[in-house]
Amino acid sequence: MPELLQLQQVSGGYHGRTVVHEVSLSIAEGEAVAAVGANGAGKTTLLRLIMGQLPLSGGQVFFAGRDLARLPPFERVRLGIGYVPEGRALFPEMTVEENLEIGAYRASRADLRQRLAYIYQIFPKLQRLRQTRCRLLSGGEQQMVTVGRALMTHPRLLILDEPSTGLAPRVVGELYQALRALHAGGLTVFVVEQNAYAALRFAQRGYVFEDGHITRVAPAAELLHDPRLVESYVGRASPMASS
Amino acid sequence: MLQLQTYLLLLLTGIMWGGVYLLMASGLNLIYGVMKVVNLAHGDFIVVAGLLAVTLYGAFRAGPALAIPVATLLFLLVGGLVYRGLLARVETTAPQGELRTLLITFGLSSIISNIALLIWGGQYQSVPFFQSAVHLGALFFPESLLVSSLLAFALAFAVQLWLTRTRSGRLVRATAQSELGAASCGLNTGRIRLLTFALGAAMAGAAGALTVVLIPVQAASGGFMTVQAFTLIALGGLGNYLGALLAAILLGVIEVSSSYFLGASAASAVIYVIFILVLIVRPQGLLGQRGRI
Repeated sequence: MPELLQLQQVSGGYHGRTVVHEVSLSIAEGEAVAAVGANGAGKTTLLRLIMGQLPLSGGQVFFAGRDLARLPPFERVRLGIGYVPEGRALFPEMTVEENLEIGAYRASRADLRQRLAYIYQIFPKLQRLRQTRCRLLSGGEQQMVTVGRALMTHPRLLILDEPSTGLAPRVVGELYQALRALHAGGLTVFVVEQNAYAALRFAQRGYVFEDGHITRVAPAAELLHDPRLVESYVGRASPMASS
Repeated sequence: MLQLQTYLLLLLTGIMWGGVYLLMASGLNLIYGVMKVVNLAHGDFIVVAGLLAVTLYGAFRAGPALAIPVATLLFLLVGGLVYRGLLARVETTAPQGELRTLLITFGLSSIISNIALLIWGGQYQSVPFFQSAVHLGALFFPESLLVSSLLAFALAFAVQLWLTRTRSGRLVRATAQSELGAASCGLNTGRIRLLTFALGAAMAGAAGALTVVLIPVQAASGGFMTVQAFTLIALGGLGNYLGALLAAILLGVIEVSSSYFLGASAASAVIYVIFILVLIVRPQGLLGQRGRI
């Protein structure tokens, strides 16, 4: 399988402080991959480096064989990386449909209609809410809009940052059900989660993140039943983990 | 009967002044709403546009019909250059990013007002245009006020239509509501910020070239105008268009009627008392979330 996203020795962080250290990972076309780890492990920073919202201090990022080094965030989206940021980043004073339309603002009218119909097919609830301002939606509904908006950019790779944060377990289930359907339809998905259980049940492969390093790569099913995964969350120095 | 006429005159004159204040604050409001930058040079843009209109009048006897397009285009360019040359270089997400943009625009304000002082001197100047009085029934209005306020409301309405009804306006609003969200949709947010700052500056230019027929200016008037405009948009809820409209009319009516009943010096005190009360009771502005860009 050809690699769609490839990171080689990527480092970076905020204002001179390195948070992500020499991370290498690759995602093949059609794969569903999860990166899991505790809060503060550098997962969000890694995604911001991939999207170009933070500058790399070392290493390279390739998408479909192309070096992304000089591309600003919007160019990366136009190349085919759909991004669901942490905290959703919706346009709260706009309706559901307006939010979705901005995801495809460069598309032709016919194209736009087609993409909207596709989103409403995946999230039928959004069709009923299409004239509602996003500020008034529940957390789960807002997350659907964010995923829908990212899909409207017509991505080859969908990247999600902590999509289950703040959602009720039942809603998390619905969200991953939708992601499963999208993946089955051929979309490549990379999800970063603190909620390891939900993410690893969905993904084929998993990366474990600790203190800005990747410490393990394995088939998701294997990680799911691995007691050492809990260790990575609690921390090796913790007396609970060593006992 | 005479009483009623007086009240009506005060009300209408107040609304007209409100329109003028709204025009003078619109650019600041747009820039803050989208970029979260308080442009402290806003008033100086207005003043220089006004003084430019004075020069155009002196040289060619040209009125606002020439001065407005000239000042609008000039400040579109100035705004673009200020953004590219100064503001775009500041990382707004960096620690104290907002403070840095504040200091930059403050420095810009001093530079502009001092250059204006060298070119135009320190005396108050105006353009004697629209000097007659207009009768509406039994009421009289200064023509300069009537024309300025009509144009001001028309421009505010046009900006509102642009923001809500056009594709480019929607993209600007999207960037205002979530820059991260806009970037995630593939929008070139840097270009939108450039466009916004240039448009906001152009609106200050248009406001200056028009209102100089009504409000005489001198090189150092800019600071006061910035404060006045900032008061208005804070009252309306920073970056809130509907709120700014409401605040403008409120301020205009209060100012006109309190200077009629209490005298001109009391009027500005009344306005700031109301401003402080609103900040205490409704710090999110008169309308809160409703009507945000």
